[in-house]
Amino acid sequence: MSTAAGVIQSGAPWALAGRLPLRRHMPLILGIAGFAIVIALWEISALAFGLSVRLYPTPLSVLHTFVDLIRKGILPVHVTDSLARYVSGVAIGTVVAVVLGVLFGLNRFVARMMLPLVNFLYAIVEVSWIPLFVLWFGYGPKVILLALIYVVAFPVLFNCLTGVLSVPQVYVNAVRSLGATRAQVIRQVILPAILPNFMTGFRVGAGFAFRALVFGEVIAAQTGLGFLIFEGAQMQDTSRTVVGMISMGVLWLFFDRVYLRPLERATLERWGMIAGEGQG
Amino acid sequence: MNAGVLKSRPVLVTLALAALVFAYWGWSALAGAHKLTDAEIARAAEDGNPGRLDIKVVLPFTPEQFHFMRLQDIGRMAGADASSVNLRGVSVKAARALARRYWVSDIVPLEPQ
Repeated sequence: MSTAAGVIQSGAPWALAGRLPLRRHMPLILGIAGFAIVIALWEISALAFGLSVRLYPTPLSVLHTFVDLIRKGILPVHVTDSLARYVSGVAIGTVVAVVLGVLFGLNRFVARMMLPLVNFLYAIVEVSWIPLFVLWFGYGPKVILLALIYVVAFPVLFNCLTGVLSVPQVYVNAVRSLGATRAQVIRQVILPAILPNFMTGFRVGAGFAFRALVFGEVIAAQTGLGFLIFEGAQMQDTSRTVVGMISMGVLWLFFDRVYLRPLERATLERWGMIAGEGQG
Repeated sequence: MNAGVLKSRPVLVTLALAALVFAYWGWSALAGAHKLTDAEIARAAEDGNPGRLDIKVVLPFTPEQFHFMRLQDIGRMAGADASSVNLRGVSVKAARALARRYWVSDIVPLEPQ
Protein backbone atom coordinates (compact mmCIF):
# COMPACT_ATOMS: atom_id res chain seq x y z
CA MET A 1 0.00 0.00 0.00
CA SER A 2 2.70 2.42 1.05
CA THR A 3 4.87 1.33 -1.91
CA ALA A 4 2.08 2.06 -4.35
CA ALA A 5 1.52 5.44 -2.76
CA GLY A 6 5.20 6.17 -3.00
CA VAL A 7 5.27 5.34 -6.72
CA ILE A 8 2.27 7.58 -7.34
CA GLN A 9 3.79 10.41 -5.36
CA SER A 10 7.29 10.33 -6.78
CA GLY A 11 7.59 8.35 -9.97
CA ALA A 12 4.83 8.96 -12.43
CA PRO A 13 5.10 11.53 -15.24
CA TRP A 14 2.94 13.92 -13.26
CA ALA A 15 5.72 14.20 -10.70
CA LEU A 16 7.57 16.28 -13.29
CA ALA A 17 4.53 18.45 -13.76
CA GLY A 18 5.50 20.88 -11.03
CA ARG A 19 9.01 21.32 -12.47
CA LEU A 20 8.40 21.86 -16.16
CA PRO A 21 6.06 24.72 -17.13
CA LEU A 22 4.68 22.88 -20.16
CA ARG A 23 3.98 19.70 -18.22
CA ARG A 24 2.30 21.66 -15.46
CA HIS A 25 -0.34 22.77 -17.93
CA MET A 26 -0.57 19.36 -19.58
CA PRO A 27 -4.14 18.57 -18.37
CA LEU A 28 -5.36 21.88 -19.81
CA ILE A 29 -3.47 21.36 -23.08
CA LEU A 30 -4.85 17.83 -23.41
CA GLY A 31 -8.36 19.08 -22.67
CA ILE A 32 -8.10 21.74 -25.38
CA ALA A 33 -6.60 19.16 -27.78
CA GLY A 34 -9.66 16.95 -27.24
CA PHE A 35 -11.95 19.79 -28.27
CA ALA A 36 -9.70 20.67 -31.23
CA ILE A 37 -9.85 17.10 -32.55
CA VAL A 38 -13.65 17.01 -32.34
CA ILE A 39 -13.92 20.40 -34.10
CA ALA A 40 -11.53 19.25 -36.85
CA LEU A 41 -13.54 16.03 -37.37
CA TRP A 42 -16.74 18.08 -37.43
CA GLU A 43 -15.33 20.40 -40.14
CA ILE A 44 -14.06 17.45 -42.20
CA SER A 45 -17.42 15.67 -41.94
CA ALA A 46 -19.24 18.84 -43.04
CA LEU A 47 -17.00 19.04 -46.12
CA ALA A 48 -17.31 15.31 -46.82
CA PHE A 49 -21.11 15.14 -46.58
CA GLY A 50 -21.63 18.43 -48.43
CA LEU A 51 -24.96 19.07 -46.68
CA SER A 52 -26.61 22.47 -46.45
CA VAL A 53 -25.29 24.68 -43.63
CA ARG A 54 -28.85 25.09 -42.36
CA LEU A 55 -29.11 21.33 -41.94
CA TYR A 56 -25.56 20.50 -40.82
CA PRO A 57 -23.77 23.60 -39.57
CA THR A 58 -20.00 23.91 -39.82
CA PRO A 59 -17.83 25.16 -36.96
CA LEU A 60 -17.35 28.42 -38.87
CA SER A 61 -21.10 28.96 -39.37
CA VAL A 62 -21.66 28.28 -35.66
CA LEU A 63 -18.96 30.82 -34.77
CA HIS A 64 -20.57 33.33 -37.12
CA THR A 65 -23.99 32.72 -35.53
CA PHE A 66 -22.48 33.00 -32.04
CA VAL A 67 -21.02 36.44 -32.85
CA ASP A 68 -24.27 37.49 -34.53
CA LEU A 69 -26.38 36.44 -31.52
CA ILE A 70 -24.14 38.42 -29.18
CA ARG A 71 -24.17 41.47 -31.49
CA LYS A 72 -27.96 41.42 -31.55
CA GLY A 73 -28.19 41.07 -27.77
CA ILE A 74 -30.01 37.73 -28.08
CA LEU A 75 -27.51 35.30 -26.53
CA PRO A 76 -26.75 37.35 -23.37
CA VAL A 77 -30.48 37.53 -22.54
CA HIS A 78 -30.94 33.77 -23.02
CA VAL A 79 -27.81 33.00 -20.99
CA THR A 80 -28.70 35.34 -18.10
CA ASP A 81 -32.30 34.08 -17.98
CA SER A 82 -31.13 30.46 -17.91
CA LEU A 83 -28.50 31.24 -15.29
CA ALA A 84 -30.99 33.04 -13.05
CA ARG A 85 -33.39 30.08 -13.23
CA TYR A 86 -30.60 27.57 -12.68
CA VAL A 87 -29.04 29.34 -9.69
CA SER A 88 -32.39 30.01 -7.98
CA GLY A 89 -33.65 26.46 -8.60
CA VAL A 90 -30.45 24.83 -7.37
CA ALA A 91 -30.23 27.13 -4.33
CA ILE A 92 -33.86 26.57 -3.24
CA GLY A 93 -33.69 22.82 -3.93
CA THR A 94 -30.48 22.49 -1.92
CA VAL A 95 -31.75 24.45 1.07
CA VAL A 96 -35.03 22.50 1.14
CA ALA A 97 -33.18 19.18 0.90
CA VAL A 98 -30.63 19.96 3.58
CA VAL A 99 -33.29 21.21 6.01
CA LEU A 100 -35.47 18.14 5.39
CA GLY A 101 -32.45 15.84 5.51
CA VAL A 102 -31.36 17.13 8.90
CA LEU A 103 -34.95 17.15 10.26
CA PHE A 104 -35.61 13.58 9.12
CA GLY A 105 -32.15 12.57 10.24
CA LEU A 106 -32.69 13.74 13.81
CA ASN A 107 -34.78 10.66 14.37
CA ARG A 108 -33.37 7.44 12.94
CA PHE A 109 -36.82 5.87 12.91
CA VAL A 110 -38.15 8.69 10.70
CA ALA A 111 -34.99 8.62 8.56
CA ARG A 112 -35.34 4.88 7.91
CA MET A 113 -39.02 5.41 7.10
CA MET A 114 -38.32 8.27 4.66
CA LEU A 115 -35.29 6.78 2.89
CA PRO A 116 -37.17 4.34 0.58
CA LEU A 117 -39.75 7.04 -0.26
CA VAL A 118 -37.01 9.57 -1.10
CA ASN A 119 -35.20 6.92 -3.15
CA PHE A 120 -38.46 6.15 -4.98
CA LEU A 121 -39.09 9.83 -5.82
CA TYR A 122 -35.41 10.29 -6.76
CA ALA A 123 -35.92 7.69 -9.50
CA ILE A 124 -38.92 9.50 -11.02
CA VAL A 125 -37.34 11.89 -13.45
CA GLU A 126 -38.47 15.53 -13.50
CA VAL A 127 -39.53 15.15 -17.13
CA SER A 128 -42.47 13.02 -16.03
CA TRP A 129 -43.57 15.69 -13.52
CA ILE A 130 -43.47 18.60 -15.97
CA PRO A 131 -46.80 17.78 -17.71
CA LEU A 132 -48.46 17.71 -14.24
CA PHE A 133 -46.74 20.95 -13.19
CA VAL A 134 -47.98 22.58 -16.41
CA LEU A 135 -51.55 21.43 -15.63
CA TRP A 136 -51.37 22.69 -12.05
CA PHE A 137 -49.42 25.93 -12.52
CA GLY A 138 -49.71 26.73 -16.23
CA TYR A 139 -46.86 27.47 -18.65
CA GLY A 140 -44.21 29.77 -17.28
CA PRO A 141 -41.16 30.15 -15.06
CA LYS A 142 -42.88 28.48 -12.08
CA VAL A 143 -42.83 25.12 -13.89
CA ILE A 144 -39.12 25.38 -14.66
CA LEU A 145 -38.31 26.43 -11.10
CA LEU A 146 -40.32 23.53 -9.66
CA ALA A 147 -38.66 21.04 -11.99
CA LEU A 148 -35.23 22.36 -10.97
CA ILE A 149 -36.05 22.25 -7.25
CA TYR A 150 -37.35 18.70 -7.62
CA VAL A 151 -34.37 17.45 -9.57
CA VAL A 152 -31.86 18.97 -7.13
CA ALA A 153 -33.69 18.22 -3.90
CA PHE A 154 -33.95 14.44 -4.14
CA PRO A 155 -30.30 13.52 -4.78
CA VAL A 156 -29.24 15.96 -2.04
CA LEU A 157 -31.92 14.72 0.38
CA PHE A 158 -31.17 11.07 -0.33
CA ASN A 159 -27.44 11.56 0.23
CA CYS A 160 -28.00 13.68 3.35
CA LEU A 161 -30.24 10.98 4.83
CA THR A 162 -27.70 8.30 3.97
CA GLY A 163 -25.03 10.45 5.59
CA VAL A 164 -27.09 10.99 8.74
CA LEU A 165 -27.79 7.26 9.05
CA SER A 166 -24.10 6.45 8.64
CA VAL A 167 -23.10 8.61 11.63
CA PRO A 168 -22.28 6.14 14.44
CA GLN A 169 -24.81 6.58 17.25
CA VAL A 170 -21.93 6.42 19.71
CA TYR A 171 -20.70 9.84 18.48
CA VAL A 172 -24.09 11.39 19.13
CA ASN A 173 -24.33 9.72 22.54
CA ALA A 174 -20.82 10.83 23.45
CA VAL A 175 -21.56 14.48 22.64
CA ARG A 176 -24.93 14.30 24.43
CA SER A 177 -23.32 12.79 27.51
CA LEU A 178 -21.11 15.87 27.63
CA GLY A 179 -24.22 18.01 27.87
CA ALA A 180 -24.61 19.04 24.22
CA THR A 181 -27.98 20.39 23.15
CA ARG A 182 -29.81 19.09 20.06
CA ALA A 183 -28.60 22.12 18.09
CA GLN A 184 -25.00 21.42 19.15
CA VAL A 185 -25.35 17.78 18.08
CA ILE A 186 -26.49 18.96 14.65
CA ARG A 187 -23.75 21.56 14.35
CA GLN A 188 -20.88 19.55 15.83
CA VAL A 189 -21.67 16.01 14.68
CA ILE A 190 -24.39 15.65 12.05
CA LEU A 191 -23.52 18.50 9.66
CA PRO A 192 -19.76 17.82 9.48
CA ALA A 193 -20.46 14.12 9.03
CA ILE A 194 -22.88 14.54 6.13
CA LEU A 195 -20.73 17.05 4.21
CA PRO A 196 -19.08 14.50 1.86
CA ASN A 197 -22.48 12.87 1.20
CA PHE A 198 -24.02 16.29 0.68
CA MET A 199 -21.34 17.20 -1.88
CA THR A 200 -21.96 13.96 -3.79
CA GLY A 201 -25.70 14.63 -3.88
CA PHE A 202 -25.20 18.28 -4.75
CA ARG A 203 -22.91 17.49 -7.66
CA VAL A 204 -25.36 14.93 -9.04
CA GLY A 205 -28.31 17.30 -8.53
CA ALA A 206 -26.51 20.26 -10.07
CA GLY A 207 -25.72 18.17 -13.16
CA PHE A 208 -29.28 16.88 -13.47
CA ALA A 209 -30.56 20.45 -13.03
CA PHE A 210 -28.85 21.50 -16.27
CA ARG A 211 -30.81 18.86 -18.17
CA ALA A 212 -34.03 19.80 -16.40
CA LEU A 213 -33.41 23.43 -17.29
CA VAL A 214 -33.18 22.70 -21.02
CA PHE A 215 -36.26 20.52 -20.95
CA GLY A 216 -38.26 23.01 -18.91
CA GLU A 217 -37.29 25.90 -21.17
CA VAL A 218 -38.20 23.94 -24.28
CA ILE A 219 -41.68 23.34 -22.89
CA ALA A 220 -42.54 26.34 -20.75
CA ALA A 221 -40.41 29.39 -21.60
CA GLN A 222 -39.96 32.11 -24.17
CA THR A 223 -36.35 32.76 -23.19
CA GLY A 224 -33.35 30.76 -22.06
CA LEU A 225 -30.86 28.46 -23.75
CA GLY A 226 -33.38 25.61 -23.92
CA PHE A 227 -35.74 27.90 -25.81
CA LEU A 228 -32.90 29.01 -28.12
CA ILE A 229 -32.04 25.37 -28.89
CA PHE A 230 -35.69 24.54 -29.62
CA GLU A 231 -36.34 27.75 -31.60
CA GLY A 232 -33.25 27.16 -33.75
CA ALA A 233 -34.47 23.69 -34.69
CA GLN A 234 -37.99 25.01 -35.41
CA MET A 235 -36.59 27.77 -37.65
CA GLN A 236 -34.29 25.21 -39.31
CA ASP A 237 -31.39 27.39 -38.23
CA THR A 238 -29.35 24.59 -36.73
CA SER A 239 -26.39 26.91 -36.10
CA ARG A 240 -28.48 28.58 -33.39
CA THR A 241 -29.31 25.20 -31.90
CA VAL A 242 -25.62 24.30 -31.78
CA VAL A 243 -24.74 27.70 -30.26
CA GLY A 244 -27.30 26.99 -27.52
CA MET A 245 -25.86 23.53 -26.95
CA ILE A 246 -22.27 24.78 -26.81
CA SER A 247 -23.26 27.62 -24.44
CA MET A 248 -24.88 25.06 -22.16
CA GLY A 249 -21.71 22.95 -22.15
CA VAL A 250 -19.47 25.95 -21.53
CA LEU A 251 -21.65 27.10 -18.63
CA TRP A 252 -21.53 23.64 -17.05
CA LEU A 253 -17.74 23.45 -17.46
CA PHE A 254 -17.48 26.89 -15.88
CA PHE A 255 -19.65 25.92 -12.89
CA ASP A 256 -17.88 22.63 -12.48
CA ARG A 257 -14.33 24.00 -12.66
CA VAL A 258 -14.86 27.24 -10.78
CA TYR A 259 -17.34 26.25 -8.08
CA LEU A 260 -18.17 22.56 -7.79
CA ARG A 261 -14.72 20.97 -7.99
CA PRO A 262 -12.98 23.39 -5.60
CA LEU A 263 -15.92 23.06 -3.19
CA GLU A 264 -15.81 19.27 -3.39
CA ARG A 265 -12.04 19.22 -2.97
CA ALA A 266 -12.22 21.54 0.02
CA THR A 267 -14.95 19.40 1.60
CA LEU A 268 -13.03 16.17 1.10
CA GLU A 269 -9.80 17.71 2.39
CA ARG A 270 -11.63 18.95 5.46
CA TRP A 271 -13.16 15.52 5.96
CA GLY A 272 -9.75 13.90 5.57
CA MET A 273 -8.26 16.33 8.05
CA ILE A 274 -10.93 15.54 10.63
CA ALA A 275 -10.40 11.79 10.15
CA GLY A 276 -6.62 12.27 10.46
CA GLU A 277 -6.96 14.16 13.70
CA GLY A 278 -9.28 11.57 15.11
CA GLN A 279 -6.87 8.79 14.24
CA GLY A 280 -3.87 10.67 15.57
CA MET B 1 -12.20 35.81 7.71
CA ASN B 2 -9.63 33.30 6.52
CA ALA B 3 -7.30 34.89 3.92
CA GLY B 4 -7.10 31.58 2.07
CA VAL B 5 -10.84 31.64 1.43
CA LEU B 6 -10.58 35.15 -0.06
CA LYS B 7 -7.84 33.97 -2.43
CA SER B 8 -9.69 30.83 -3.48
CA ARG B 9 -10.70 30.37 -7.10
CA PRO B 10 -14.49 30.57 -6.58
CA VAL B 11 -14.20 33.85 -4.66
CA LEU B 12 -11.71 35.42 -7.09
CA VAL B 13 -13.76 34.46 -10.15
CA THR B 14 -16.98 35.71 -8.53
CA LEU B 15 -15.30 39.01 -7.67
CA ALA B 16 -13.94 39.33 -11.23
CA LEU B 17 -17.41 38.64 -12.66
CA ALA B 18 -18.99 41.17 -10.28
CA ALA B 19 -16.38 43.76 -11.37
CA LEU B 20 -17.16 43.04 -15.04
CA VAL B 21 -20.91 43.41 -14.44
CA PHE B 22 -20.33 46.63 -12.51
CA ALA B 23 -18.08 48.01 -15.28
CA TYR B 24 -20.66 47.09 -17.94
CA TRP B 25 -23.41 48.70 -15.85
CA GLY B 26 -21.39 51.94 -15.60
CA TRP B 27 -20.49 51.97 -19.28
CA SER B 28 -24.08 51.27 -20.37
CA ALA B 29 -25.39 54.07 -18.11
CA LEU B 30 -22.97 56.54 -19.73
CA ALA B 31 -23.67 55.30 -23.26
CA GLY B 32 -27.42 55.34 -22.61
CA ALA B 33 -27.33 58.99 -21.56
CA HIS B 34 -25.76 59.86 -24.93
CA LYS B 35 -28.28 57.79 -26.92
CA LEU B 36 -31.29 59.44 -25.28
CA THR B 37 -30.69 62.97 -24.01
CA ASP B 38 -33.05 65.04 -21.86
CA ALA B 39 -33.73 67.32 -24.85
CA GLU B 40 -34.79 64.31 -26.93
CA ILE B 41 -37.05 63.11 -24.12
CA ALA B 42 -38.75 66.53 -24.05
CA ARG B 43 -39.26 66.45 -27.84
CA ALA B 44 -40.54 62.87 -27.80
CA ALA B 45 -43.22 63.52 -25.14
CA GLU B 46 -46.71 62.50 -26.28
CA ASP B 47 -49.29 65.26 -26.58
CA GLY B 48 -51.76 65.04 -23.71
CA ASN B 49 -50.02 62.03 -22.21
CA PRO B 50 -47.31 63.27 -19.86
CA GLY B 51 -44.52 60.87 -19.02
CA ARG B 52 -45.07 58.86 -22.21
CA LEU B 53 -42.78 59.07 -25.24
CA ASP B 54 -43.07 58.30 -28.95
CA ILE B 55 -39.66 57.05 -30.05
CA LYS B 56 -37.77 55.50 -32.95
CA VAL B 57 -35.38 52.78 -31.80
CA VAL B 58 -32.44 52.56 -34.20
CA LEU B 59 -30.67 49.20 -34.39
CA PRO B 60 -27.41 48.23 -36.16
CA PHE B 61 -29.16 45.17 -37.66
CA THR B 62 -32.55 44.04 -38.94
CA PRO B 63 -34.80 43.43 -35.92
CA GLU B 64 -35.95 39.89 -35.22
CA GLN B 65 -38.90 38.40 -33.36
CA PHE B 66 -36.78 38.52 -30.18
CA HIS B 67 -36.46 42.32 -30.43
CA PHE B 68 -40.12 42.88 -31.35
CA MET B 69 -41.20 40.90 -28.28
CA ARG B 70 -38.97 42.91 -25.97
CA LEU B 71 -39.98 46.24 -27.51
CA GLN B 72 -43.69 45.35 -27.34
CA ASP B 73 -43.27 44.85 -23.61
CA ILE B 74 -42.53 48.56 -23.15
CA GLY B 75 -44.70 50.27 -25.79
CA ARG B 76 -47.07 50.03 -28.76
CA MET B 77 -45.42 49.04 -32.02
CA ALA B 78 -46.06 51.63 -34.72
CA GLY B 79 -44.06 50.29 -37.63
CA ALA B 80 -40.61 48.98 -38.37
CA ASP B 81 -38.07 48.93 -41.17
CA ALA B 82 -34.73 47.25 -41.84
CA SER B 83 -32.92 49.02 -39.02
CA SER B 84 -35.46 50.70 -36.74
CA VAL B 85 -38.66 50.15 -34.79
CA ASN B 86 -41.21 52.86 -33.95
CA LEU B 87 -42.74 52.72 -30.52
CA ARG B 88 -45.50 54.82 -28.93
CA GLY B 89 -46.50 55.31 -25.31
CA VAL B 90 -43.14 54.34 -23.80
CA SER B 91 -42.48 55.48 -20.22
CA VAL B 92 -39.39 57.63 -19.67
CA LYS B 93 -37.94 54.99 -17.33
CA ALA B 94 -38.38 52.21 -19.90
CA ALA B 95 -36.93 54.41 -22.66
CA ARG B 96 -33.85 55.18 -20.56
CA ALA B 97 -33.45 51.44 -19.74
CA LEU B 98 -33.74 50.63 -23.45
CA ALA B 99 -31.06 53.22 -24.29
CA ARG B 100 -28.67 51.39 -21.95
CA ARG B 101 -28.87 48.21 -24.07
CA TYR B 102 -25.67 47.80 -26.08
CA TRP B 103 -27.58 46.51 -29.12
CA VAL B 104 -29.53 49.77 -29.45
CA SER B 105 -27.62 52.30 -31.60
CA ASP B 106 -29.77 55.32 -30.92
CA ILE B 107 -33.19 56.47 -29.76
CA VAL B 108 -34.71 59.51 -31.46
CA PRO B 109 -38.08 61.23 -31.09
CA LEU B 110 -40.67 59.87 -33.50
CA GLU B 111 -41.87 62.35 -36.11
CA PRO B 112 -45.48 63.46 -35.43
CA GLN B 113 -48.09 61.67 -37.54
